[in-house]
Amino acid sequence: MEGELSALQEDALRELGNIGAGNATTALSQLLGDQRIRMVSPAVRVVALSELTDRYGPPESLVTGICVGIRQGLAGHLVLLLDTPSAQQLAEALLEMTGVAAKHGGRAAPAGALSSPEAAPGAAPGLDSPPWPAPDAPPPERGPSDLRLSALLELGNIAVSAYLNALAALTGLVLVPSVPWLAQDMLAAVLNSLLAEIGLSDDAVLVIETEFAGERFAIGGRILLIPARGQLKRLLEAVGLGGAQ
Amino acid sequence: MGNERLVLVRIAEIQVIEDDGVLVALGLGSCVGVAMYDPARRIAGMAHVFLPEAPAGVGPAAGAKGAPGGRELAGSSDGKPGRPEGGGLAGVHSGGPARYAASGVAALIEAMESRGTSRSRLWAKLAGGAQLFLRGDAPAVDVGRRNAEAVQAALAAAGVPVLAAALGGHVGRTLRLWAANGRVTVSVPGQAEQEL
Repeated sequence: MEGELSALQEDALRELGNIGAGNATTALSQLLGDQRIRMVSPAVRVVALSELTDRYGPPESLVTGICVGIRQGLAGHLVLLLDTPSAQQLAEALLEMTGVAAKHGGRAAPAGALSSPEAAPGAAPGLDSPPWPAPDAPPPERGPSDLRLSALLELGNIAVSAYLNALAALTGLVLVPSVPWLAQDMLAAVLNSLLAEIGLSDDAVLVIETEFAGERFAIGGRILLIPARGQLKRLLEAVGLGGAQ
Repeated sequence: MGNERLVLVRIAEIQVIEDDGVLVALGLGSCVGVAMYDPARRIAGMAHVFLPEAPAGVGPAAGAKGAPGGRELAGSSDGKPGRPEGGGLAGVHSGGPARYAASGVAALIEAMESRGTSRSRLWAKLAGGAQLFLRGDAPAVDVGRRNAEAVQAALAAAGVPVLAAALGGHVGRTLRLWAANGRVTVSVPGQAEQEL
């Protein structure tokens, strides 16, 4: 799709992914009281559409996907995929840090609590503004609470910004993230919706992927950098590896 | 029943089976799964439609951004083989006959006709077309809804009735079709499988 990569170019892209994801997971580990999170198998892959849904786990496993678009210096998308237990732990850790959890007896509010009138006084200080403007039709069947969703969006933001900061520092490119999107559903559904939103026009997509896992804490997930079509050249040029292979 | 042959229908794929086995599209998000069946011959087909049409700038079928989903596509679903509508990158399009709604529906009907079904006996049931992402910058276009509209328009143009559909909303779905009897089910995370 983008032509063959030389070994050197592939190494460079893998290293970018590794450093970006390293920065992101460092930010996440700080949320967890400095639990160590290690990188597993950073890779650069051209993934066929049809194999994508099997690639990152069982297609029907439940995941949380947080995605931002990247603009300016590089066009593309950055995706944080967390398995559901990890997402829950991270959300609760963040809520605890911001002092919200204590007000809810150490747990996040039950589903719908913020939207029911009697729960309104319990609305969290510091998290009282919704993370996104109310959509036309608010999704009715969301599992986790609004509060936990806010926390997840926030930690997605933290991780993704950390990744982009590292990438910007390494490449000298100005990288501007969009407002994050979030989905919690089956892995296959999240990924195929994501690629449709991106408007993928090829049968394959180039992914710079890094898997991470907590050493003692059971945190697992992946960060995927998906440069838009034609953007790989720009990324390679920025690290001095453009031009002929 | 436990040993049924499962045939996965992945993104942009089409599969047709006869007599026994189960077609499965796992985790449809904004994608639309089209389950199609000929009860007389027990021929079952499924398409996993990825996009309503080729993105703007890719091939001749690309409409204006935000154009009413699928309407302009209906004309091409006349039973011709599922040629890719967008040129995209030549050679990368080999594996995705159901990449786009109209050509995907046409290719599915064609594949079933080549097994000996008659179009007049076919019915369809649909699932998917959801909007999973919550986002602050409201999407200009809801891909799931446009997928659903484009698939329905293509089926209407082809004269295949839609007997049931589980479309839209904010939840991913898995669609199954049994070749033996045309049973169709939909399942969503955390809920029991339901007949469609």
